[in-house]
Amino acid sequence: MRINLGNKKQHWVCGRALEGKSCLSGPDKQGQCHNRSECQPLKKGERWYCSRPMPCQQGPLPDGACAHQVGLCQPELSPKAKIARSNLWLLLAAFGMVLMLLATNAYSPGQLSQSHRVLEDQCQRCHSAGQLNKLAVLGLAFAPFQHDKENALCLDCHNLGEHAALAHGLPVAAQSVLTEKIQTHLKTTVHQDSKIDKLPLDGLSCISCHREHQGGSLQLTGISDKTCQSCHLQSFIHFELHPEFSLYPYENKSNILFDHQSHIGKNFAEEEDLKQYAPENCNDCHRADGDGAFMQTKGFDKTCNNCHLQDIQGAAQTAAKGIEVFNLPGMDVDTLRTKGLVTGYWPENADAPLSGYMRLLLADNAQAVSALGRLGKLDTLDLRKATQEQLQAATDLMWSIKQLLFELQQNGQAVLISGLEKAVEQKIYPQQFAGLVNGLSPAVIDQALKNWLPGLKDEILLYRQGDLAALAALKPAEQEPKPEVTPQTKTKSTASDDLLGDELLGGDDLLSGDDDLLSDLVDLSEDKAADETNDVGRHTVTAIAEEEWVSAGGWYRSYYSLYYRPSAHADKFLQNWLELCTQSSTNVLKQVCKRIATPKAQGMCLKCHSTGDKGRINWRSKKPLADRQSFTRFAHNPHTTITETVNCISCHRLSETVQDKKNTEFHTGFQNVVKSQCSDCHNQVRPASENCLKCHNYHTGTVALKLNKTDLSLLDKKRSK
Amino acid sequence: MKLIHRRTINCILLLVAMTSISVIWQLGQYSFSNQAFVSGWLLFGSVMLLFLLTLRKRIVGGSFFKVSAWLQMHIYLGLLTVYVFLLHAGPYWPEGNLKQLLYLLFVLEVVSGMVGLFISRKLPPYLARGEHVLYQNIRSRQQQICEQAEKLVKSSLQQTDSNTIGDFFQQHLLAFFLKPQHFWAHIFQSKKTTHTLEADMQNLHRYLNEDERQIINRLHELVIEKDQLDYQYAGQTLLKRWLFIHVPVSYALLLFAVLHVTLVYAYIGGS
Repeated sequence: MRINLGNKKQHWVCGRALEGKSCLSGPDKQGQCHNRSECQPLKKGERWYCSRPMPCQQGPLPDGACAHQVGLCQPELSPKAKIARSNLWLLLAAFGMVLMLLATNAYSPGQLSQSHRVLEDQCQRCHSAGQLNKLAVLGLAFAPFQHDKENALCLDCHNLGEHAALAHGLPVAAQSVLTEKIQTHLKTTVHQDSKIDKLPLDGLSCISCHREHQGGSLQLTGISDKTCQSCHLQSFIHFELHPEFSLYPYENKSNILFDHQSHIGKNFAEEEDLKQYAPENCNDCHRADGDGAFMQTKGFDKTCNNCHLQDIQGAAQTAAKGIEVFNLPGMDVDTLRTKGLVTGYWPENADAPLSGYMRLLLADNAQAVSALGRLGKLDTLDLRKATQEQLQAATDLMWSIKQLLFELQQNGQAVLISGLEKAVEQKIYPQQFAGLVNGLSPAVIDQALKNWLPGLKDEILLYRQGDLAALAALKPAEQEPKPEVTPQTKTKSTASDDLLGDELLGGDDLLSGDDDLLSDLVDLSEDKAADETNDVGRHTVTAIAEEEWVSAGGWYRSYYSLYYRPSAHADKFLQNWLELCTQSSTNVLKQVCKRIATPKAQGMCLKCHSTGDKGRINWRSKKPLADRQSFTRFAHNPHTTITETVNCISCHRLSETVQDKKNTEFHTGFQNVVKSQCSDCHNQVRPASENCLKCHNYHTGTVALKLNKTDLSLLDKKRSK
Repeated sequence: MKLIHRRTINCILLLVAMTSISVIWQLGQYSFSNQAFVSGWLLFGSVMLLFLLTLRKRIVGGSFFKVSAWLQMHIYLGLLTVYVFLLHAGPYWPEGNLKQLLYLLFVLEVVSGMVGLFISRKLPPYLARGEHVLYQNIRSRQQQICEQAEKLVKSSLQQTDSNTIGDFFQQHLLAFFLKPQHFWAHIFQSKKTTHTLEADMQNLHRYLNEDERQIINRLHELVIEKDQLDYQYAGQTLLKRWLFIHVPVSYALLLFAVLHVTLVYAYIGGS
């Protein structure tokens, strides 16, 4: 066997071949003709013979030269040689074109899509090869593929979260959890053979789905359904075969707990005094967002205010309408003095236990903390059987409280921060602190202390000097002011009983309960009448209780306590304290949270605001975040605008009435949307799309474009120079 | 094996191959891999196999199947390659200079191949009908015919003392005899131009005497002989020259394909 690369001698042929007179020897390898005669005579013996097949008549000359002399010919390339030469030239031309393409970067595979068009000349923005020289580029073709390196270039501009390369942007563990959840809900093993565990651990590359350079009209996010079904193995080619919906769209708890059935069926329809405020259609409370996709809830002021404002302000509260914040706890002062302990002045009529807020504020006072620890659950109003240690603890507590209030009076709100931070074990920021004290004024403190602890300043000075003898010598009688009684009046709520509901009052009957209080009311009214009649010829004006005075919210004093009454909706005090309850879980704070973090507490915040993950309170109704995507998306427009027959109840149908017994339990009040409501239009017959991406997102979580960072020094002319 | 059997088997094999590739292609849609890589390597491999025919032709001896068998493989693989190409590049004009160049070269290659296949099947029977002349002898034979015609015309001038034939020869026949004529007419089996020439010669008869008619008849025979040679020349030239397009383009196609593959892997970040 041999390989025929072509006879080199045949590269050139005699130039007279066309005339039929080609010579026998032909041109040499270089294509030069050396033959000046028609033949090359052969010598046989002594004679020369013509070597042509048809010898000429003359024969060769005696010297052996051919008798027929001709001029040199112009050799020509043989056909094979012509082919070979044309191949060579074409190959060289092609190679030259290759070099030209490489040199001029004219090998772009096509136009970029519209969104990336601006990067047309910036290959290095998307390709690591674009950052290399030509030789290195060619070498990169043989290097192992590193998708994370290429992905990083895409993620320079596209923020897709921490796990962008993983399926749906979720870590594998989260995917498994979701799969299990779906299987549980659907009661099927449809995803049992899914490819979650078969996907590469380090994720996919962006180009697995997004392939550029296919022209300006390319929809880069348009992915084929078959790509989705690479992992979701229950392949179906039509939406009608899609699995039935599970808990959609009410899988997640709504932020605002609103019982549609109760309101629509009962409150709006039956309450005569509320009918004027009742909405007539869904649009009165709901409106589409700017894109028309998401239905938002209008604010409290436009929807709930007319009926529920008084609830927030405590109109229906049978107990104190305000929250007890600062107070002087009741102390068995007589026993303490009898035992020789120096207490200074302490009002004998104070009878309330130490409020949770006070305990919290005393958390950074070691003396107070120790005292409270020693006292335990001992009732400080009766210390007759207390041990000496407990008596001392009670005394220490009293002085701690006095010092706290003194410092507050002297140095203002700032003294409270350290106690708060110590109690909640986290930093309190100024804006948060402002909400936590919400307008606590010096006048309120001054007036309270003037009434509760006259001579406090002198006492504190002596106490700090350690002059207990002088303290003991202070005459309580000179200090004790005329006790000021500020009666609490009971008012009947003007709101509907149904609105308040028995649950709101905890089953309490408005007219039942404390007979003494009622008798007090009777006494007061009699006193009032007596006042009026005792003043001869003149009307007297009896001031209303302070609690009623601050009907619009604020601080007020009652007995030996300073209360805060919530103002209108979105009260800053309550909001910040409830937020603090979700942020910290110290024991001291828990005592405060137990009082305010219930649906029936003052302000009734948690009656309507649900709690989310980690106890976080959902203050606002749900709104889609601009840079976040979930697995599914639904645009109300154009569904509700295309045809008059499609309205809210086409998909949202009320279920049976449910009651919110706990804030954490979730009841929608609506039936789940079923697939048939969608497949009526989204099917293979109607023009509505069936594509997976019509309703589902692949990338979940953060999906946003990163802004370019601009160094501020560029704006400074001096620095930029 | 009879031709019809062979073709049937080859077509079935081709259909099976196309079907298999289609199934693989469809199944590949349900994955994250870029099907263009699969079809691309399939295409590149096919082109390389097609290229092997050129190498096989250069091997003398050995047992690598007959060249005819290779040619059969080349033809059917070429058809399959067209299908793979359509899967890879799509039936539309692509974007990008390099891709457009590749597309153009491939189309040129396919068209030249199909044309070559057609003429290599159709032309030889036609060429075999007449006197078979070796291609390399055609030009020398044409030269001889031209010389004979020129001698005949000179003799007519001497014998008849008339310029009629000479003028006619000068105007109508000289260019005809000097070099091969009516190339595409012969390719498309058209005798129109030759018949026109013959008709002109026939019309000249009325102006000639008996001696001149004999000369013109002899010229007519030479015209026919020359025309047949031209037919042979056209057919054989086409049979040889189509490879001047098909083979060089295949080299260029291969070179640009290598560049294409290299750049693709370079710009996706590696292989």
